[in-house]
This record gives sequence, C-alpha cells and structure tokens, in this order.
Amino acid sequence: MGTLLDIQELRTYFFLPGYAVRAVDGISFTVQEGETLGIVGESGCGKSQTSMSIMRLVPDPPGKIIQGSINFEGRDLLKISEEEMRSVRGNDISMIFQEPMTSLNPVLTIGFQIAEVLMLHRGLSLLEAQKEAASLLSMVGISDSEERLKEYPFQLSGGLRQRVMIAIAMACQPKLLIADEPTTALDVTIQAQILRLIRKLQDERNMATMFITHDLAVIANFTQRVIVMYAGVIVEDSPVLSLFRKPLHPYSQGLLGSIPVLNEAKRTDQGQRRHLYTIPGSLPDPKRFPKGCRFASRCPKAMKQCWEAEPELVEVEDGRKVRCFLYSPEVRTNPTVSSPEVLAQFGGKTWKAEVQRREKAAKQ
Amino acid sequence: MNQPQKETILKVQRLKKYFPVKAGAFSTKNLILKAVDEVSFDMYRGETLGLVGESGCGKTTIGRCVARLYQPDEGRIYLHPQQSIVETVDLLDLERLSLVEELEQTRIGGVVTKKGLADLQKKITNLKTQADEAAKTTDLLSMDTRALKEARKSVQMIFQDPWASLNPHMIVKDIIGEGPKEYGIQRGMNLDRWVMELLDRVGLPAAAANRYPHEFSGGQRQRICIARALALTPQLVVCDEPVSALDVSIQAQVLNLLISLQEDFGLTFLFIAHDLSVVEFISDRMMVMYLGRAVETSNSEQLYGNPRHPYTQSLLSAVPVADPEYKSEEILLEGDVPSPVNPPSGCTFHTRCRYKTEICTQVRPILEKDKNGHKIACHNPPND
Amino acid sequence: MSTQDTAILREGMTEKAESIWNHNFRRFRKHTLGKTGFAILLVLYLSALFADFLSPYSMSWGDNRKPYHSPSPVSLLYQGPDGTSLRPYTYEFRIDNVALRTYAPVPEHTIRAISYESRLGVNDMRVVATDPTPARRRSTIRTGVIRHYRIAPDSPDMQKVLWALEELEASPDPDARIFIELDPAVSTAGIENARSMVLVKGNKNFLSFFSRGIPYSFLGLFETNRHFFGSDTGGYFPLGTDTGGRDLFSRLLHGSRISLSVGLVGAFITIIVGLLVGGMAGYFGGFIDNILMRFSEVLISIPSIYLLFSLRAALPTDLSSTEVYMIIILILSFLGWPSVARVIRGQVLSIKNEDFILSARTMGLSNMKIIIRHVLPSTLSYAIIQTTLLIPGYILGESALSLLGLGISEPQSSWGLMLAVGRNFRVVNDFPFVLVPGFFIFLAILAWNFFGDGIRDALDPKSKH
Repeated sequence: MGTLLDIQELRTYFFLPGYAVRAVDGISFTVQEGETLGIVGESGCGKSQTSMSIMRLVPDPPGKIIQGSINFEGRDLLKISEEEMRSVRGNDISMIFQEPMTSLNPVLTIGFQIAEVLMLHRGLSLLEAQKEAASLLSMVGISDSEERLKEYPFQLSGGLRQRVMIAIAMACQPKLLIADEPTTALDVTIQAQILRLIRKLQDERNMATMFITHDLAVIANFTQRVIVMYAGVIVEDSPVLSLFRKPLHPYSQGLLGSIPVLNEAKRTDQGQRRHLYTIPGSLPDPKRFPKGCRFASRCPKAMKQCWEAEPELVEVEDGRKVRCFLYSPEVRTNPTVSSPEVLAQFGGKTWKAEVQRREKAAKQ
Repeated sequence: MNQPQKETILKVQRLKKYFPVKAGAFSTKNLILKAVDEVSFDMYRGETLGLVGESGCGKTTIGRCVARLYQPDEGRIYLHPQQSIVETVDLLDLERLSLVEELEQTRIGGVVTKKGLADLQKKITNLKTQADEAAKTTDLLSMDTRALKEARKSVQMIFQDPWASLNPHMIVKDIIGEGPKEYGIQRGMNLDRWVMELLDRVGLPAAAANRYPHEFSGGQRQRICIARALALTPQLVVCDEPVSALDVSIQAQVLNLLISLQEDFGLTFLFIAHDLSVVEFISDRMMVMYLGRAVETSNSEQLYGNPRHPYTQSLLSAVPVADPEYKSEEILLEGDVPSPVNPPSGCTFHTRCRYKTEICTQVRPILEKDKNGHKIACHNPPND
Repeated sequence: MSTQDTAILREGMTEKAESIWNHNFRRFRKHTLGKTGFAILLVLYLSALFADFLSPYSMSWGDNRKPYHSPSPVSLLYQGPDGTSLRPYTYEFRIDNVALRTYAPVPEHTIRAISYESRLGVNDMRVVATDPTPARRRSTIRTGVIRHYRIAPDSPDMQKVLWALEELEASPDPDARIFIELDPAVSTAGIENARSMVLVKGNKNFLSFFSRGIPYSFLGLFETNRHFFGSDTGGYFPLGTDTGGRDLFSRLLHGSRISLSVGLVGAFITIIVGLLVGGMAGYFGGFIDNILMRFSEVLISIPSIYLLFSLRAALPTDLSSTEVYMIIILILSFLGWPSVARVIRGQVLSIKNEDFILSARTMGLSNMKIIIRHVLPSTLSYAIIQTTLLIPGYILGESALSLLGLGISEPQSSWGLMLAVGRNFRVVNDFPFVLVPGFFIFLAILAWNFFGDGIRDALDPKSKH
C-alpha cells in the first residue's frame, strides 16, 4: 500500500483586524491507500480547517494557507492552479459534510445534482449521467432509484439525504473520501446504517477515508489509525487499538476518560455518586496562545519546561507519535512541577486508576 | 441520602399532544402529527428519569408539556399528586374517554339520533368540567392562571441550544435574577447576593455577572442557564438535551455539575437526550420512546444489561461503543422511522420489528410490567 | 461541591463588558461609506439647526430691486488707500438692463444709508443714492431717512445724519463708512428700541465673520443680529437671489429645516407604529395578524406618489404652515409604516420561538412583559435599518408636495418649494443657480442611503461566535 496523501507542516491562519487565528499550526501526517484515518478533536482544534485546506476551500479573506505542502499522488496540491484543483475536487478527492440539508441544493432535484458531477468530471451527457445516477442511488441503498431521481432534498429524510451526498461523492470513484462529521446530525440507528455503508464502499473500492469527528465511539469502530488534534496541532498519532488501550498524551487520556462508560456502577463503595473524569479549564484563547505547550494550563502532569517551550511530535513506539515532553528522554531527570491549582482539582485521579476502574466495570 | 425517596413528585397520565400540519405546500388538507400519543409515567423525588429516543419520538414535546410551555390536548400532569384526587379524577376521565370513544364510533358508522349525539356531547363536557374542577389544585393543565404562576416556581427548564437560550440584550445578572424578581422573592442587595452565590455554585467567576452572553463559550453559557434554572429553587428541572451541543470534555464538566447540584439542592431531573451513554450515566431510571409512545421503562442498569423491547434492543446495538475491541451484535433496523403524521396502526414499531405477529398490526400494546420489573409495551417480546 | 467541578474560567472574557450596541458601534466605525454619509448628514442637520446664524439674511427678507441676482463674485484683495490688504469684498449691484435682467456695479460715488435693527420684525431701511451730484444724493438720503424713522427734518437726529454725510463726502477714502446712533425710539408700550444706521461711501460691500444683519432669535434663547458671515452693508448673495430678491443661500438653509426634519420626525412616528403593528401581528398571530397584514399590503400596493397626492388633496388646502407641516409628516408616516411592520413581524415570528422566550415563559412572565422586555429589543435593530432606508423617500415626498404647491408655501421655505420655479424653462435657462436646492436634495438622499447602508451592515448579521 503506497502513500496516497502526504501533508507536511501545514499552516492555515485566519487574518482578522488586529490579530491572527492560527487554526492549523504546523501539522504533518500521511494517509495510505485504502486506509481509514480518523481525526478527532473538539471544536476549535482545527480539524475541519485541515480538511478545508486539503480541498483548498479555505475562505480566502480572512483565511490563508501560509505554509506547507500537500502531496497527493506526486503533486503538491498547494502549488497547482485553481483549474487543476477543480479537476481534483469531486474526482480524486471527495468530501461529505455534516448537514445534508445545507450541502444539497434545495432547488435542484437530487438526480440532477448527482448527474452534474458526472457530466463535469467524466464528460457524460445528461442522459447517460442520469442513468449512472440511478445506479449510484441503488448502490447507496436507495430503492426505486429511477423514481427518486426526480425528488428534491426536502422530500427526503436526513438519512436518505446523507446517502445522496455519499452517492455524489462516490460518483467519480475518488481515491480519497473526506467525511467531515457525516453522522453527527443523524439519529443513532441511521448513523449505524450510514457508517456501515461507508465501510462497505470503502472495502469494495479500496478507497482511503478520512473521518473527521469528535465522537470517539465512531473512531473506535470505524477507523484504523487516529490523529488527535488540539489547538491547531497534532498531539497524538496512533493506531486505534493502541490509542484506546493506552493513550499517551494527557489530552487523549482526559478525552477518553470523560466519556461515560456504559453499564458502570453509579455509586462508589462509599455510596457517593460517581462523577466523570474531566479536563479542567477550557481551550486557550486562539488569539493569544501561551508560550510553551498549548495544553499545559489544563494538564495534570505539566512540568516546568512545559510552560517554556513547545514539544515536538516524536515517534515513541512503533507507529505512534506523540507531542509531549513526558516522552522525551531528558524528562525523566527533571523534577515534576505542576501548577498547584490543576493538581488540587484532580485530587489524585490518574489515568492508571481510570483504566483499572474500566477494566473492573467491563468484567461485570 | 443515597437512595431516592419514593415520594411521587410528578405524575403524568395519558398525555396527548397533537399538532395540525399541512399535507403539502398548496394542500388544504390538515393532517395531525401525533407528537405524544398517550404517555403516562411517574417521577420520584430526588431521582433522575432519562427520556431517550430518536428524533420525532416526542421526548422534547413531553418535556415542554411538563414545563407547561405547550397546552396538551389530553391528559393530566400532577405536581405533588394526592392519591384521593388522582383517583377521583381518574374515574371521571376514564368515563369521559370511553364516551369519546363511543362518539367516534358513531361518527364512523352508527345509528344514533341527532339528539343522542348532542346528549353525548353534553355528558362529555360535563365530565370534563367536573374532572377539571377536582384536579385543579394539583394538575398543571387545569390550574387557573394564578396557581399556575405559583407552580412554575417548582418546575424549571434547561434548554438545548446555549446560543439561543439567553437573551443577547441582557446581562447575566439580570438573566439569572429575572425569576426571583418577578416573584418578588428577593430584591436589591439580597438578589445580588443570591445571584453571586448561584454563579459560584455553577463555577463561574463573579465578574461574569455584568457581562453579556455573547462573551462566553458554549459550556459557560450552559452554566448560566443552569444558574437561571436554579434561581427559583425548583423541585423539578426538565433538562432538554442540555449537553448535546457541547464538546466531550465540556460535556463531562456540565454533567458532573448537574450531579453535584442534584445532591446539594435535592433536585429531581427529567433528563431528555438522544446520546444513550450520557443518559445512562446520569439517570436512575430510563424511558424509551418511539413515535410518541413509551415502549420500555426500567432502571438504567437493567435497561442496558437486559433490554426487552425489540426497539430498545436495536437502539442499543446501534450505539457505537468507544472501545475498538467491543463486539456488538448488530441488529440492524430496516428503513427509516415512519412519519409521525401517519403512524402505523396497532404497535407503531411493527413495520421494522422482526418479531411482529398478526396482533401487532392491529392492537396497540399497553405499557405493563413484565416478570423482570421492566415495563414494556409489546405483544411478543423476544425471550431472554 | 467538589473542586474538580469548579472550572477556572478567566480566558475568553474581554476587559470591559461590551453590550450589543457597543459592539455594533465598533463595526459601524469601520464602514467608510457609512461614516461619510454620517458626516454629511451631521453637517446638513447642524446647518439646519443653526440656520439663522449661518445664513447672511433671514428666510423671507428680499430686496425686490434685485430679482435673480447672480451669485456675488468675491474679490479677496482690496486695493485701498493704504495699499493692498486681505479684505474680501463684493460689489453692490443694480439692474443694468431691465429686459435681460443683467446687473452692473453701482457707480463709485454712491452713498448708501442702511439701518440696523436689533429687534425682530422691524422693517429695515436701505437707501441707495446713486445720483451724480452730492446735493442730489443728500436729498435722496434725507428723504429716505425721514420716511423710515419718522423723524422731523430739523430734529437733532437728522442733523447728525446730515453732518455725517458731509464728512463722508469729504473723506479721501473711497470706501469709508460712518456708524450713527440715533436716539432710541420709545414705543407705545414703553419699550425702548435702539436705532442705529450706517452711511457707506463707494460701491463695495466688505465681507466679515459675525457681521451685523437681520435680527433673529438664536435657538430661542436670546435675540441677536450677528450672523456667521456676510456683509455689514448687505448686498452679498452667495448663491444669488430668486424672483423676489431673496437670498437663495439663506432660504436654502432655512428650507433645510423643514425638508430634513420632516424625514426625521416621520421616521420616528414610523418606527413606533411599525413596531406596535408588527409586534402585535407577529406575537398574537391568527386573526389580528391577518387583518393588520392585509391592510398593510393594500397600502403598499398603491403607488406611493399617487397616494401621497390624493391624501393631501383630500384635506383642505388653506391651512397654516404649521398645520401643513404636521399633515405632511403624518401622511408620509402613514405611507411608510407598512414596510417596517412587515419586517418587524417577520422578526417577531422568528424570535417568538427562540429558547430564551420560552425560558421567560417558564419564569412566569406575562405576554406583555415578554414582548416588551424580550422580543422588541431584538427587533429594534431591524426597525432602525428599515426606517433609515425610508427617510430618503420622505425627503423626496415632501419636495414633491411642495413643488406642486400642496406642501409648504410662501413665505416659508423648503427645498421643494424653491425648486418650483424650475418649471419655467426660461428661468432655468437664464439663471441656472436656482436649481441649487436640487443638488442638496440629492446630497441629503445620498448621505442617508450611505448612512443606512453602514447601519445595516453593522447591525444586520446576528453574530454567533
């Protein structure tokens, strides 16, 4: 399996009067052919802007990709002309979005919207395109596809609209599918159907997929490798199993700890109501990131040097990269100095204790 | 205080809420959307009842009916119900409902005189008036305006969208203090002190009091909403998807906050959400809804450990678990949720149920206890 | 409550509490076009406010010996007996050719006698003696002064005047002048009236700031006869005169009071009516909504110009100026409120179901309190936008009415009224400066449109961070 997409030091900044927002601040990762990559992070971490940058859909004022290279099949997407980029979009790289109602044109039939892509990229005539569109609709599991071609988006339910979006994205057999929160707006049962559909299409076509989401459960079940983003940088890059078994970065640990676990005892042995593990504080102001590691103000393991310099993304174990001073060799010798406020809030809870608790719960 | 006391604080009976909708853009036909189709449940002091279901199941509508933002078409919502009143009203209501049923039958095809019809109507109206009269001290739906205003102090609500639930033109202090000021509970210095205390309890700095909502993040705004809901020291708080719009880590903070406040203030929560793991975490008991009807009620551990209703089973199996090694048996449901405007006959779930039988298409199942203590509404529940 | 749950939230909060209005004001400041519009409007409205101070003459004073006087040419440097100096002046003109109505300066030997009144409403004296010989000039002036002041030919005042005249004639300075104070007159009510006049030699009118002129009441506070700029001896017409010899510039400024204020007052009434009607229709819905909206649609569908004229014509034409002014405002507001009401109704409909309104209901607030405290403040910005876009139409409406004689009439002044002469092609052809009011109408409308654009861009999008 070769490398399909290779991103190096991508930086996308938003220039507003008086300040700049560093939405994507130096990220590098690769996507292999046929691989499913998940990008997880909370709002403000830059994951959506990453996908927008890949597709070069960043709104030009005020945003700008100021640095980096996006190598797709040997070409740097940031260096080709807009016309060449247009032949890439929808053709080699497709995207599906979160809100199917707003990403489908409400005044055109769905048949026309699918056909449009076919006519543009594969040069089919309208009739040929419509026939192909019908077969695409059945491929995504919509019955009576001939009839459905004439329907408008508002006549379909959320799940069906999302299937139409997938059909449009699949029409030109892309090599990479970027799915930006594709199921957040859908009901649970519909979500399951859509995710299974995407997986089926992936298997059939050996298509690479980038899942962008904040839902860790989706990540756990549908991806092979995960990138965790925080405040515009990658903090952890790891295969999915290792991430869930042993998250390395304190932010990943905190994130995984905050999810309520099913079927766990509600009260401790002392009868106290159990609380969730939380990451204190909130995202720092994107206008003024503090010096040093961006997570330091919320990290229970922050050391003195975390406040002074930003760590690099280094490879730790096989295939796992992390951006944290805890994993650099010099660190072992430095004393641990954490911000006392943060320590007090944690009251001694550690990830190890959390893992133990979960294992106990799973046994019941 | 570890176990919730078994005092019934809210009793909902036979709640119905229908909305008239237009069939199409130019059609004059008026269809009826049965958002809530005869739902009954109780809530006990100090507990959290979780209400789950997918979109269109009616859970939000129930929440708004309890907070008296909608006027239901039928049913009773008792706040601090008294057994004797409930029984009296029940008798009257059931009698009336059977007469209404009769009326419907005769309209469809029966032989009755015009006078007979009018008599029936009059009897029905009389029964309604009698029942309302008996119920009006505790029933939120038949209370007069003044009693209702008093009752509102006891039932408060937290909304889903933190961006839309705060008036952008008012400062936080006024937003939180509006309730107590309206009821004259506190004024001036006392009010300020109370607002500051609330802000502290929900984890916001005192400086927040003079700011405008747009200066805060989503999680902080939700805390302001919680403070506002607590300002009148209610007994029951309806939480309508309070964490759905928040990030995972903020979600955890707010959930923890709700749990602490429940302990400190002795609150009862009606927690409405679609994220099953969140609801399971915070609720003592849960009720699963489908197309306006309750299909299963149980306490949370049992519901998850041993779901009995076929819909609950497939719902739970569809929830992805945040563990890559967890293998769930995938019970896939076919098709989409049917439209609540034209629900299937009998059991509304029968179109997607793999255990359906003849009777399921004709007769609506009643929510009743089975041998495990769950309450389910199913003619043919799958075996354990 | 465990400390773990208390989040320390200092980040993300600005230094000072910033209300929505502050926020929007900051946005407006970035809008260049809007600021330009605002600056122009500020100048126009302040000029209207201080119209009597800023204009050299009063609204209705006219020298009927100077009809269609062209704008006075100003020379900056004065060649006097003491050499050249910076003393701007203009010539005193008189009609040269009656048929063609052309003007030429009066001869250099002219003597003029001009009175200064310090009380409102008193006629002034302006005797221009262009006779070739001093004796004839003396006679002209004597007659004029006696007639105006009603003093006896041999009274001490008259002696003073004649003496001053002799001094003036003998003076080597070709543009000399002498100020004379006569005995104050006592009116029947026992009020003293100061009487002063000036005798001027030569044919120049010197310009200065804070010159003496026709008395007026400054903002209703006190009476004065000082004007911002002009000539102590009159005869200076910055934009020329109209058919009655009235200074166009002064009439322009006084007329701006009416033309500009009609728009503002009308807008104020329109907002109030629009908010009420739209608010009620939107909040209560149903039958009320139906009735109100159908009625407003009827009003909108009638062409506004025709409606304007029909409404005005339906009312009596012989009304006092103030009454006409009020009626014009009322008619214009009547035409304008439907569009505001519709916008407000739309806003109310969308706000009505917002969660914060529902929350107010759970707090036990009554409908009226909810409308006033929660719904209407959110609609205010739209009301303002909609109304500022109506004002240009109001200005035009008033101009149209006055142009056709249905609005403001003589002796008041309004821009539309001043343009009425424009209907005569010959006049426009020969004296194009009478169309200046048209330019100012254009300027005012443009400025309001720019300002309205700026306001709309600043207030419109609801910002969600």
